Amino acid sequence: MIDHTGWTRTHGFFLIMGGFVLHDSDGQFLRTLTINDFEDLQLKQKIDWPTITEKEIKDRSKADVFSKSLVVLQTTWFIVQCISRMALRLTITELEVITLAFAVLNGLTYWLWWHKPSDVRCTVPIYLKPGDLGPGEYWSCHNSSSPSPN
Amino acid sequence: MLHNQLVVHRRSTSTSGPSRRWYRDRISSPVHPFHSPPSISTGTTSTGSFVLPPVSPFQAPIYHFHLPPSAPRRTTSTSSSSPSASPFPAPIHPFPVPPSISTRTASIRSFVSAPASPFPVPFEPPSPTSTRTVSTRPSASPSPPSSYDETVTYLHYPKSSSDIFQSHLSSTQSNAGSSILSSQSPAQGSDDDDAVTVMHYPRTSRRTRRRSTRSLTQVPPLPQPNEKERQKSTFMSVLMAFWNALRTIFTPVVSMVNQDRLPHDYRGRVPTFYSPHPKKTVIDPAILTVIGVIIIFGLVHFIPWFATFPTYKQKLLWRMSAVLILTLPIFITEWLQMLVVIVPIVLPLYAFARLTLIILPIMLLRNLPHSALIELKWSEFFPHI
Repeated sequence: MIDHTGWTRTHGFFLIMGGFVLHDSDGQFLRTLTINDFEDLQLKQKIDWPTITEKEIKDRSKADVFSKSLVVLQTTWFIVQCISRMALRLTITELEVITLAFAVLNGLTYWLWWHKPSDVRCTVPIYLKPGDLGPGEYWSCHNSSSPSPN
Repeated sequence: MLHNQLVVHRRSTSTSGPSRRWYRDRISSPVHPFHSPPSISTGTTSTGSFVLPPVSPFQAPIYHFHLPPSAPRRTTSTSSSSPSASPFPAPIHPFPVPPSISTRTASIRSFVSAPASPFPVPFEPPSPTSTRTVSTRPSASPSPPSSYDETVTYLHYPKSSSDIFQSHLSSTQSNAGSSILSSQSPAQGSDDDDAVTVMHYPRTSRRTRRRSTRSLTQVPPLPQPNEKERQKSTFMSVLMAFWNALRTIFTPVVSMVNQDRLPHDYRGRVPTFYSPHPKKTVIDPAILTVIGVIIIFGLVHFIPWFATFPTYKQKLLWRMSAVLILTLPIFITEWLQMLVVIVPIVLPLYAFARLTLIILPIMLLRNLPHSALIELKWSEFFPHI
């Protein structure tokens, strides 16, 4: 079975956002790994489990805790202001209302994507193990029409 | 290659032939991107090969056919295929008459030497050795019907820009008296080396013949582009721009709807809203999250439900948009994606509601109530400080 040791939510986000790409055993780029593709190849023992750590992935991220916290603090401050205006029976303009909706959604987004690396430019290659491959597994965008077994 | 460079150099420095600017000034309208590309009709008849100049809609009427009142009519045609009364038998016309021109072609009133097209001709230009030798003698033509005298006119026009270069080079090298490119007398430079097109047309009355002869020595102004055609092209370009804008807007929307699909051999950047569904889950937690987000986002817009709006229409618009914002995204979720109604009905409605909810608050800033300008005094919350 899949050994989940060492994987975090960051790894999962990194896989979903296309961070892991499949390479040939010779080093040629084959395709971007999706989550189901990755799982299939792992169950068939075709690839090794990637050894990249969470720190390495977050090193590629362009957003850190400080920048994310700043945004969350600002939007939270706006939400608090709106609620207190409502509590004091002061008028809230409609512009504030729609901004409040986006601010709430923003908080939700940051909560869900807190561990997601932001704006990663470079992918992490995963190499196929050398060996016989079925004709269905060796496809790529380069020779998708004519699969050439090894 | 050196030969070609030499040609280009000589052409740019010489002043005898019509320059590119000469042609450009005579084509007043820009070439529209939607107009049909210039084509060259070639063919062979019994009299020899002929080449029709490039036909473009703004340059088109090279042949001016009309029926002068004194032109003789002949109804007997030996091999006329079309039943519409063509007064002349078929071998008289070695070139195919365009369908827009009436079949009642009796004489050629004016014949314009066709200028070279300013854009590159999209076919492979013939080799320079073959372009020089296109020359037919009128003796090779079969005898026309006896009632008509055959008039053979040699008309010179360059077939393509490479022909301009080649013929210009040949004329300047051999010091021929009249260049083929001299626009004032296109019919004079009848060297056998140059590209020659033989046009046969029947002899008509003397007045018409004189007129046509005069028009051969003078280059009439090029015909102006058809106004109707231009308006049509403008309309088409506006339509295409509108369609491109629509596509630009709705492509990401559709990709957001189809967010869980990624092609197998995907390469490159994963779409922003790509979120695959896990394999072995009955209830996707992502869908529950999406529904929660929809409800929260919609309910926030219900806050000013009972607020006072300046007009009743604005209030109605806000309420409508709020209801749409809350209800419509349910159709975009997974279970109802199969319905075909979603894209043409739900997406424009949702876009309308969202746009209303952005534009209307900005409009409502025009007259704010007084209490909207009061700032919060946070010190009131802490009375003992």
